[in-house]
This record gives sequence, C-alpha cells and structure tokens, in this order.
Amino acid sequence: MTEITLTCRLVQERLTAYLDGELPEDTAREIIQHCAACDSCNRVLDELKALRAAATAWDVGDSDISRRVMAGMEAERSPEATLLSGVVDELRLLREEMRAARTEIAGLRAEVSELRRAANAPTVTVSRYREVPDLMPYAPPSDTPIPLG
Amino acid sequence: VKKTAYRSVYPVEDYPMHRPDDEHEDDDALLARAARERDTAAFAVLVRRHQGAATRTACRLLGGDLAAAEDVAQEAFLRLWRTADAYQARGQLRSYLLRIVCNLCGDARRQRREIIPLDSCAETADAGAAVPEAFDRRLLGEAVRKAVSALPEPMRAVFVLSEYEGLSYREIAEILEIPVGTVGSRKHLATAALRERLRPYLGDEEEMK
Repeated sequence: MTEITLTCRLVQERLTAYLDGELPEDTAREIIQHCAACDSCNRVLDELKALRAAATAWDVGDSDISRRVMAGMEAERSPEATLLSGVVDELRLLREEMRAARTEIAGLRAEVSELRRAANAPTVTVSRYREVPDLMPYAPPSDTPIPLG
Repeated sequence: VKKTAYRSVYPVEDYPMHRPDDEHEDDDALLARAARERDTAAFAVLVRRHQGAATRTACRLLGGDLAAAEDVAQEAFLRLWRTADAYQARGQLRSYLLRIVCNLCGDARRQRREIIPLDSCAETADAGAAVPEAFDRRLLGEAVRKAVSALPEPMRAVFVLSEYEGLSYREIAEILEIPVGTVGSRKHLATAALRERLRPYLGDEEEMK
C-alpha cells in the first residue's frame, strides 16, 4: 500500500514535466503506463490537461511597440544628432563661401588673361631688361674682371 | 549651459528604412550590426521579431496591465540598444531580452507594491462552482488572470514563460538564472496551486472549449 502511494506521489510530481515534454523517453513511457492503470493519477493528469486548456483563456493579445521603441532610440540619439546637424550646417555655409570664392577667382583669371594679351601685343618691341636693368634675372658673363676695392 | 533644441534627422514615420534582406538574418548578426554601425534598421527587425514575446510576458507578469507591459517592453528594447556592445553572441537573444523583461517587471511590481488578494480569486472560483457552464471564455480568462497573478513571483515567472511562451526548462533556467531542477519544481508547485484555485473550472475539457 505504502509503495503504491509513494509511486503515485512520484508520478504526480512528474506529470507537469511530462506534459511539458521535459522527461526522458523511458520515464515518460512509465508515466503513461502508470496513469493507464491508476485512476487517481489519471484524474490528476486530466485535471492538468484541463488546466492547460483553461490557461489559454487568458489572452493578452499582441502589441506593436516598434514605433515607440524607434522614437525612444531617436530621442536618445539627440545629442549626437544635434551635433551632426550643426556640422552639416557649417559645411553648407563653407560650400556657399567656396562657390563665391570660385566665381571671384574665375573673374581674376579672366583679368589676368586680358593683361597677358595686352602685354604680348606686337607694339611693344623694346626689351624690358635693357630699359629696366634691375629686372634682369642674372648678370651676363663678362671677360672684364670685376674691379676690387 | 545652452541646451540645443533637438531636431530629428528623420521623420519617425519613415524611419528606419525597411530592408527585406534583414528579415533573413539571425538575431546575433543583426544585433552585432546594430551595435557596430548603430544601424537602427537592423535593430527594428529585432524589435518586430521579439516584441510579441516581450510584451505578452510583461503583461502576464504584471497581472494583465497592458500599458505597463508596453512601457516595460519598450524599456527592455532600449536597454538592449544601449548595451548591444556588451551582448555576447550565443544565439540566445530572446532569452537575454526576456531576462531584462523579467527584471524590469520585478522592479515595476516592487514600485507599485501591487498585490492581488487571494480572497478575490476564491470568490470568483466559488461563483464559478455554482454554474460552471455559464462562464464564458472571457470570465474564465479573468479567473485565470487572477489566479496566475496571485502566484508568488518566482513561480509565476516560470509558469508564464513555460505555459504561455512555450520555453523549455533549460531556456527558463537561463533567463531566470536558476538551476533547471528548480524550474521543474517551481512549475510543479505553480500548477498545483493553480489546479487548486481553478478547480471549479477544470471540469470536462470539452466544456472548457
């Protein structure tokens, strides 16, 4: 009698794990065999199955929280994003300045070209070096010795 | 200190961009990319993939309070995002996330000090015993909610993760950081307590449906 009760107690302790599929195959087989022969354990097994079915009646549904998670991530990114947008603004200003500078350089280039054309005109025949000796790039070689003192 | 007003780079409605290829990547690869490149689109895939388990678990651990559960789930994902660098890829991101959810639920309950009296469950059960067939599924769900919420916290966590999320004892042990044997004994005690409290409803299984 005692042996049977102990066996039933052990079986009933394992019924939950059996229903969860957590028992080794041979133990599960023993549980099935015992319940088939034991009304008491079979009744507990039925109650546990009914409990499992009843538990599904508490349905909480599924929530979509992806937008609020993304919004939270966005908010946490704010110091970086603020810094980034400041840098972007600065780069935009620099680009405007570069465009203005490029236009000015183009104008100066045109002016220089105009001056060059004027400088190379055929009316100018006299070498600038003879008229303005200081502009000569180097002293021409001479046989005359340079006087000392 | 002058505080600069935050200006969103992207409108939240269009952000992040959806990339269908990400859906085929595993959790660890997505989180690694999210951590390395601060890739919000990769992280969004993880959120969509696991938000159901996170919200459902939180809701059941918080006695059915969906608003509080959504707050907890959101905070859990934000913590994951903040600490993505520290995550060690072992193919168990869901367990890692649910551990955060369970811890946050514990904190939330301690802050609220919300205890559902056992008497209320007993009253409902007595009422059910009189006319069990009159109870529709919604009332049964309410009785289950009260009974599960009245379980001690360690048992409730094991029961919810096992019964509702279908996790193995090993996964639950990982989440709650307890031995596998303890998971088994807590599940057994939880079902025994619920069987006792919900006995009036546990008649013919066909009637329950």
